[in-house]
Amino acid sequence: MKHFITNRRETLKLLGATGAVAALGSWGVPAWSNGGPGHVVVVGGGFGGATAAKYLKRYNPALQVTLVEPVERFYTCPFTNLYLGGLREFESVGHDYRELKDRYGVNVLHTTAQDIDAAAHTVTLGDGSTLRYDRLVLSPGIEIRWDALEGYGEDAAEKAPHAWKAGEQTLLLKRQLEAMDDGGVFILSAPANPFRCPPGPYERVSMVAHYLKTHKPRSKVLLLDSKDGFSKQGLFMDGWAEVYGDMIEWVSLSDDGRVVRVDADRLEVETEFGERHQAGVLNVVPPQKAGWIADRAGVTDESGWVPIKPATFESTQVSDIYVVGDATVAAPMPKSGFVANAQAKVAAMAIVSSLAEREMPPASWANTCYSIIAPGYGISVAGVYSVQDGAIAEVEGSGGISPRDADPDFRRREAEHAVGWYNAICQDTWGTRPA
Amino acid sequence: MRLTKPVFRGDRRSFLRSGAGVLGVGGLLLSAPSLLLARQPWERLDVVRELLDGSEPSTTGIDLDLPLVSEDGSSVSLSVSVDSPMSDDDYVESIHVFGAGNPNPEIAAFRLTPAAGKAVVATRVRLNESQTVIAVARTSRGEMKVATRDVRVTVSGCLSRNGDSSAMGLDNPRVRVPPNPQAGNPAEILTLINHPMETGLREGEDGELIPKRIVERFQVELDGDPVFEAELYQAVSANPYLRFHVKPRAGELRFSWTEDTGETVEVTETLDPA
Amino acid sequence: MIKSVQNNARALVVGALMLAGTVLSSAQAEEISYNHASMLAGSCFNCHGTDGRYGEDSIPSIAGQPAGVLLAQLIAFKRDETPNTTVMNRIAKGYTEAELEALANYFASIRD
Repeated sequence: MKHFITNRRETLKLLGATGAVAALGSWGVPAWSNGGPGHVVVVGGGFGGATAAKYLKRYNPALQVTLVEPVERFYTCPFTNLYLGGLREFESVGHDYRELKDRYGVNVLHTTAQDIDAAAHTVTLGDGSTLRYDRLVLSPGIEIRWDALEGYGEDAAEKAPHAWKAGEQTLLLKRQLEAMDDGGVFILSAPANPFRCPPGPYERVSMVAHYLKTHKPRSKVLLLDSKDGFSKQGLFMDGWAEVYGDMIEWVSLSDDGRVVRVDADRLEVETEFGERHQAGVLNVVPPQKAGWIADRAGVTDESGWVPIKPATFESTQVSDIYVVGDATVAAPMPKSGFVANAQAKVAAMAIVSSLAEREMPPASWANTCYSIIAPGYGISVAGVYSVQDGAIAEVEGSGGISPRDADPDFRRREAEHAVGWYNAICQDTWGTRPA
Repeated sequence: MRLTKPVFRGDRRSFLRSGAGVLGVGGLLLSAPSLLLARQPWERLDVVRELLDGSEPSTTGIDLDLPLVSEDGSSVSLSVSVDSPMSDDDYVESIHVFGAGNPNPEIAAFRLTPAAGKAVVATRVRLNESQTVIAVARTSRGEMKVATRDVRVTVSGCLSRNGDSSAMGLDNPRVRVPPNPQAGNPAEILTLINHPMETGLREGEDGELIPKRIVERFQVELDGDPVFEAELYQAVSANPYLRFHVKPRAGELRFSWTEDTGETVEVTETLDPA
Repeated sequence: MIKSVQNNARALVVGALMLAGTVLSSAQAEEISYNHASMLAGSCFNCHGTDGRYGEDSIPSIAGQPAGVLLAQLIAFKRDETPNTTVMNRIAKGYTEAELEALANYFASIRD
C-alpha cells in the first residue's frame, strides 16, 4: 500500500500543473469540478485502460487512480500490419506510461493482476499484495481460445504465429516472411465473428502482398475465411485487384474457406470439407474471447465475452466493475482501439458521476477504422453510436465506408489520415508522440 | 406457398399432420386476446400452436444453440440437439425451427429416422432482427419438446459489407463423410451447396423484386432407405449448409438438393465403416 | 491539397454563419451540460488529439478556434457542403446541430 502514500503526494503536487492547463468551458466551470473521492483501479494499459486512467484523472483529479499493466512499453496492434509490409519500424508502435505518471498523477504499477475478489473489492497483484478499489476498470483485451481449433495450441503458435497480439508474435511473423522463398504461399486463416479488429485480417494480407510484390513477386497470398463477408469487403477487393492483380485469393466460408485443423509442423491446414493447403508461411488468426482476468472477475457470459450496461459500460453481472475494449459485447461497435478509447472515456465519466452521486450525461461514441491497402492507398469505415431503446445503436444516417468510386487522391488522403489518426490517438491515450 | 409432396415412405400420416401446420398459410400472430393469454414465446405463433396441436410440450431434453449476439444476421449458426435413443420404437421424427421476428416464421423442418443414430442437426440461418428462435421436436411416440433462444442481431460498423453469394442456381455441392466411421458411433456428415437462396423479398439494382428461388428440399438415403430430410425456407442462409448424423453401415449414401424450380442435383458417397 | 480543403471550408464560413444563427437559438433550448459536451468531444480527440490540440499535416488542430468558424465547418460537413472531404461528413451526420454547437463551443474554449 505504500504506493498510495507516494502517489497521493505526487497527485497533490501535480494538481497545480494539471490544473493550469484546465479548460475553462464556455459554461464557466473548470473541467475538473467533478468532486467525490475514491480509489479506482484500472487493469490493462492498452487503448482502453490507459485512456480510462487518464480521463478518470481529467474528470476528477482528486480521484486516486492506479493502473496495473505488466509491461513498461506497450505495442499497439494497429499499425503492426504496416510493420509487416515494411512501411514502419516495429518500435514506432511502442508507447510508454510517462505522461500518465508524470502529468496526470496516475499510479502505474508494472505488474500482473492475478485475481479479483468482487465481493471484497480487491485486486490481487503478481507479488501477492492486494489493492482495494471503490470502482474497478477492466480493459483486458483478448485471449486466444487455444482449445477451439484442432492442432492450434500455444506450441503451434511458435511455428504458425497468430500475431494478433503485438509483440514477439509480430516479430516472428515478419522473420518468417523474410525467410520465405519467392514463389511461396502465405496463408492467413481468418476466424468467425466476433474477433479483435474486424478489418485486420484483410489489411494484413494487403500489407503482406505489398511486401511480397516488392521482394518476392512470384509468391501468392491465400486468405481462408470462416465468414462469407467481411469489413469493407468491396473496397478491399477493388484495391486488391487494382494493386496486386491476382496475387491475393479470398476463399469464403461457403467456398470451403473455414479451417478446421492445423498442422503447424508441416505448415498445413485442412478446411471443413477436407481440402488441404500447404503454406510457406502460415498465419492463423484463431477464435478469441475476453482476456482471462475477466473470467476471474466473473464478468464474462457463456460466449466468453463481457456483457455491459450500454450507458455506462458497467458489467451487467458484477457491480462496481466497468469493462471496456475488445473484451466487451458492444456490437454494433467493433472491437477496435478507437472504440476502446471511446468506451473508456464513457466509463470514466460514469465512474466519476457515480462516485459523486451525480447524473451521468448521455453516452456517445464514435469510431473510424482506417485500413491501408498499399502505400498511399487508404480506406475507412466510420460510425457514431448512442444508446437507443436501451441498446447501443449506430446513429441513423451517420458513418459508412469510403466511396467505392473515389479517385486516387481520395485514397492517398485517407492513407495520410490513417497516420494522422494513429499519431493522434496514441497522443490521446498514452501522451506519446512520434519520434 | 404450396404443399410439397411427402417423401418419407415410413411415416406418411404423421408427416402430413405436422406438415399441415408448418406449411399451411395462416396468420403469423394470434389475435390480441390470445396474445394476452400467451405465456410462452411459442404460444404466440400460429404455426407453432398448430404443430403442437393442443399438447403441452416438454422443455427438457432439447437444446437450441445460437449465439446470444450475432453481428451478421444473414448467416447465424444454429444447431438443435434432442436427447433420444434413436431406436426403432423411440426416435425423433421431426425438428421444426421458427424465427418469430422474420417475415415468414418458418426457417426449416428436419425429418429424421432411426438410421440417423443421433438427433443433432445444424445449419446457418437468416435473422431479420433481434428475436426469439423456437425449435419444436416431435418423437415417434408423439411427445413434443420445445426450446427457445433469444438472439440479438446487430450489424457492426466495421462489418458492413457489400457482397453476397454470386451463385446463380445449384452449384458445387460438397459433402464430407468421415473416412473411417466407427460402426455403432453415429457419423457426422457435413453438406454445403452454392445457391443464392433468393427470398423473393429483395430488390435488385433495377428496383424490381428479385423472384424467389430457393433450395426447398434436401434428402439423404442410404441404399434407398431414408435417413434424413430437410425442408428449407427463405430464412436459410445463402449457400445452404447442413450438418446431421448417419448410423454407419456399409452402403451408398445418396444426397439430393431440389430447387423450387424442380431442378435437382445429386451426389453419392460410399459409407465404409471400420 | 490539404490546405485547399481548409480554404474551401473557410470560404463556406460566411454563408454557414448565417445558418448558424438560427441553429444557435434552437440549440440553446437543449441545454447541453459541460460534462455532456466533454463526452461528445472525447470522440473527436481520437483523431485531433486531447482537447483537439494535436495537429499535423493531414489532420488539423481544432483547439481554440472561434466557435462560429468551427460550427460553420461542422454544419457544412453534416450537410455534405464541403467538397473533397473524406470522413468528416460521415461523422458529422451522427450529431444533432445542437450537439455540433456544443462541440464548437467546447473546442473554442480550449486555451493554452
